[in-house]
Amino acid sequence: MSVWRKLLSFFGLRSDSLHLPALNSDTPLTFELELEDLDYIRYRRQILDWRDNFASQLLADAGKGFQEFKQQVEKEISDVGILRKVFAKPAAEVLKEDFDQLVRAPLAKCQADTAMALEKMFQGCSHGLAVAPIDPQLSILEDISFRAAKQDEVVSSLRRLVFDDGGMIDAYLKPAQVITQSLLVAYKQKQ
Amino acid sequence: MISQFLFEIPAKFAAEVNAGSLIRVGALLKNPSTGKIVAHLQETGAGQALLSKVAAGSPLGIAANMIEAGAAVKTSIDVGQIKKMVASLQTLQYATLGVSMVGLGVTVAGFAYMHKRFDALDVRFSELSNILQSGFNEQRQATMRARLSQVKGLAKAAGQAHTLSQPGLEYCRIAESMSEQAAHFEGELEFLIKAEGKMNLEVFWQLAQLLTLSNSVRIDCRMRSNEMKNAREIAESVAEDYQRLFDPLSVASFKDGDAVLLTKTLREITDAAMTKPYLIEHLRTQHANGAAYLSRIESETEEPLLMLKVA
Repeated sequence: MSVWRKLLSFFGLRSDSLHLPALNSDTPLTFELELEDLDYIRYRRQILDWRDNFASQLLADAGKGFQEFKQQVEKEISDVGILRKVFAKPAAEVLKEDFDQLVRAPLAKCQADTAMALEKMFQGCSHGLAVAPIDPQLSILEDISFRAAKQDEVVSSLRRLVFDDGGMIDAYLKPAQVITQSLLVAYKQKQ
Repeated sequence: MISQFLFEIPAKFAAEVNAGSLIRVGALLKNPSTGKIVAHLQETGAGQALLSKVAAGSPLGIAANMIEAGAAVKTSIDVGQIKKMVASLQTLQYATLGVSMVGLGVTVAGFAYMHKRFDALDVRFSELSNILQSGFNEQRQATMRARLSQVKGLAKAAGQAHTLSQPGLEYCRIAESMSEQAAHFEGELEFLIKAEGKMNLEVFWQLAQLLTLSNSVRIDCRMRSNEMKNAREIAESVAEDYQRLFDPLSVASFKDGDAVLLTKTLREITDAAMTKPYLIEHLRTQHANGAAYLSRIESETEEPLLMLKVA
């Protein structure tokens, strides 16, 4: 008896109990991944593309709109009469209408178009996109008066309102993030 | 065991992709009617050689523009090869061309290519030191420099491992070390993402490349030591990490750069990572030798991109 077999029998083992069946290397192994998960990858990408397109369009529209608004501010400053240069109105009062028309309105339209695109993909999901106007009375301008010396301050305050963290762009994007997450979670739960 | 890998050029699938009878999901093509995978997209040694000259360490937008324009950075670049790559990606309906190629540069980790890219990233990090100073204190910068040296060393060692009598052990060592490096870069990215305010796009992109390259080397090393199941598990885990890190980000998350381009790149990178386990699983179930497969891909000099056909 070989040393190996002696050792095995000492421990109560039989050498043939260690014999493993020969693996037939020509037989494919079982594929352990789910092909259905590829559908989730595609679906996920569709949702993310929808959200990414919304974010890109919002930034593009806000950029264009704010540029036009800035030009409008310059024009209004140059049109201010002598009396108004002395007794200046609050900037918020002078600029609210222009800001609503040139900045808020395009963003609201972008949001509405995006909601429609989402409805086409998934009926009933778009109502969560609605957003209340951020600072509708432009209180960010506080008591800044509408005069040439304050032009830069006015423009930079409104830029912060639109583009900074917690501003209008963020406000529009947050619900889109929430909808994205819930659609992805809902899909996975269905599986 | 499969002894021969069936490759096809992407152009052969053009008609079916255009007709919709094949659809692309990440880096694979599938038949939407049967749900079965038809082929996996592979970047070859020829493709990586091109990208290492054009894209390595370049700011994202510049790399993409150079590739899309078919521009030669140096005279040694084969403009025809670049155009071939671009045409292949158009065939497969990639949303962005040059950017996707940069993103695709992680499907196979040719070690010489990886070493070049780590090298270029090291240089780029030094160039970004002004920006880094605001978010990275001296200690963190020093740690980053040390990490960059380590990953370069590991990529070099991986390129030399095949000359050892037992390369499998060395690949395992490198894979484990790269796992630590990847964890560090992932931590840095998380820190950057969670910080207040918009992220500097260039700093983010350099860190993201470090993470994706490190993970690519990890997976590659496991495949080369024929640990296919482990390679697949790592690939699945990496895909989850990328979804967690990158999916919540959008163009509004970044400043100072082309955030639309970056966002699309991150999507392509994540999609490719999510389909990589399917490639590895296919090879595993067909008893393919990981090292032999990667060797075949790396040794390709004609076609920058190939499709591995699934019988």
